[in-house]
Amino acid sequence: MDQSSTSKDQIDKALVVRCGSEFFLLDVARVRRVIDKTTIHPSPFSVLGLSGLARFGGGPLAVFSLEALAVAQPSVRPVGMTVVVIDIGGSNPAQRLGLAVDEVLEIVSLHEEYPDMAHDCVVSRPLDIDGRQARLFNVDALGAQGSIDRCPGVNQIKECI
Amino acid sequence: MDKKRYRTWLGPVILLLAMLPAGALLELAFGAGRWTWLVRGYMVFALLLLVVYVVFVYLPGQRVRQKFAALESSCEVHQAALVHVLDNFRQGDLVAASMPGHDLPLGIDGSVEAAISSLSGLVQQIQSVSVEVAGTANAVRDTAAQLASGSSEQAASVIEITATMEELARTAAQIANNASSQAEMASQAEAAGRGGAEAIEGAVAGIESVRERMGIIASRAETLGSRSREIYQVLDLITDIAQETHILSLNAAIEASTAGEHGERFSVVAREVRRLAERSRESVESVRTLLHEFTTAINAVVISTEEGSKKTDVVADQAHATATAVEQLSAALGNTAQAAQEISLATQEQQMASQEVLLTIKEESDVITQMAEGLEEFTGAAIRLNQLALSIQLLSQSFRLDSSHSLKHVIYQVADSLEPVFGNLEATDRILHGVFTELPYLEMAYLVDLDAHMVAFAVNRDLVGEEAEQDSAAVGQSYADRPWFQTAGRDHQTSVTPVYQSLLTGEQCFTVVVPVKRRDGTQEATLGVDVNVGNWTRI
Repeated sequence: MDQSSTSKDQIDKALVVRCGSEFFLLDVARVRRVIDKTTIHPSPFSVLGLSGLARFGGGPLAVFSLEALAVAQPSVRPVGMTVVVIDIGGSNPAQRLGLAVDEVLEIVSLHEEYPDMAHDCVVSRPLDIDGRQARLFNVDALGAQGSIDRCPGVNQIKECI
Repeated sequence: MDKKRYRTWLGPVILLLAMLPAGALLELAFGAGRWTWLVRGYMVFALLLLVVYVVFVYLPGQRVRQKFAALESSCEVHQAALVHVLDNFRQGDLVAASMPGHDLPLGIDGSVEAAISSLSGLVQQIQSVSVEVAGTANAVRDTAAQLASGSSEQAASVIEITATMEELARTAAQIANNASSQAEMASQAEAAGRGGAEAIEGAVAGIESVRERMGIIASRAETLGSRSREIYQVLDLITDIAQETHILSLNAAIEASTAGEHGERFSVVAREVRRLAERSRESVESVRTLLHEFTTAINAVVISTEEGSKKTDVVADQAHATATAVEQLSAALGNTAQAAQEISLATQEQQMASQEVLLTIKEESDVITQMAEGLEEFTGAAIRLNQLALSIQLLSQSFRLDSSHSLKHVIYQVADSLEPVFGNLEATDRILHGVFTELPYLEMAYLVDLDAHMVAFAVNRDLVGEEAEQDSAAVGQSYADRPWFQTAGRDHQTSVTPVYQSLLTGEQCFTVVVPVKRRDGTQEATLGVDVNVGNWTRI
């Protein structure tokens, strides 16, 4: 996977999730599993968006709040009980993490062009998906430094929260 | 006197003249002859008859005539003395009448003195009694006036009491009527209360039935609620299954998407499964919604049933309380009816008693009115009695008695004290002013000469006041036309006038006038005093 940019050719199906009243799109190719009603143990580490640790595949899985990561702010709501396991690089289990969401809705095909996003940009502008306004969540940008400030629509999300 | 002397010798002369012609005729007829002796005998008989007449008739008659003359003279003296005494009696001057020196016979003198003494005592008693009667009459008049005033007030009070009692009687009648009506209404209310109690008992029975039915409904609603919870549990289970199916289909679709073309069919199946799961979840949601509405309705029914049951309990309790209250009210109305009957009877008795009291008060009012009228008459009678007593006083004062209560006597003493100072006006004036010290009831004393001109006068300022006018008296003023002066100045008699209104004080007074005489008995002037009746009767 090219870590420098994201294009339409590379993402044709996305998983629609909901966090509160916001809808996000996750690349299905990066989704490993959807776990429902898992137990999230609180973590003593203070990392932005880290909700805790869950058990997956016989090992620990770091679970982050998708909403907190999208807006770069600690979530004021309880973290959702559904966790989407995504790969953030290779097949190493250590490079997987969980994104806590409120609900996993469906898998949709992306037919329209979505804007070019810098590799370190976390969310895109809103896209119309079957009448819903959803933002594409860039999994690759999680490790880039200063990615939040360059992302479009972040301020609107802050305002929505 | 000479006629009487001749008249004493008239009998013997006539006898002699009768005998001489008779002797001459006999001498003429029988002087010659043998009838000479008859003539001589006649002469002797005549002479003897003359002697007998002189000795036995004339001389005793002469002595009798002398005695009769002396007796006649004595009688004239006694008559004059008696006339003087009677004249004093007529003037009421018992002092002058009782003075010694009258030539009355001893028996008559004693009788006259005894009569004067008795009359003086009687007049004094009359004076004293009349004074007491006047005072008593005044007291009776005052008391009667007070009683009359009190009776008038009492009559007015009785009239007010009568009006009040009449109002009370009318009120009692109204109360009796109202109490009777109230008793009747209470009886009707008692009957209505009994009917109401029966109706409330029926209502209570109906409420009890409703409460039982509400209990059954509540029990059934509770059962439905319990079943609804079971359905919720089933729906939760279906929801969980649908959610797991949904997640499972998503994971299958994810796996299928990574499988390339080989996973496309599987992806379709996963999508259909996910849709079924979605439809199941939507159906469950629909059922949950319907069940929620049903549960809500059941809960509402339960709540309503509970509230209805509670309200039914409250209504039942209230109905019981109402039934008890109605029973108590019915009993109270029965008591009220009985009490109203008793009040009506008592008020009727009170009305009858009030009527009797009213009659009694009216009788008492009549009696008081009569008594007030009688007291007014009594007051008038007391006034008349006072006037009569005053008249008796004045009549008794027409007598001069040797008493300090005899005005004539007192004024005579003043007149006697003026005799030595005739012509000395200063001394006369001093004596007149000094009169008021001993006789404070005198308003005025004055001296009038025989020409009816005022010589001097004095006014009792302690009695009439310093401001009183004295236009009625002035030195030099003539009083010739006054009856009292005519009586005292012309007839030389004392006089007491009737009561008149004083010009000085405006009160009742009368005048006593006496002649002022010198020692030789000649009148020099007339002394008059005005006596204030009110002060005099008090004295």
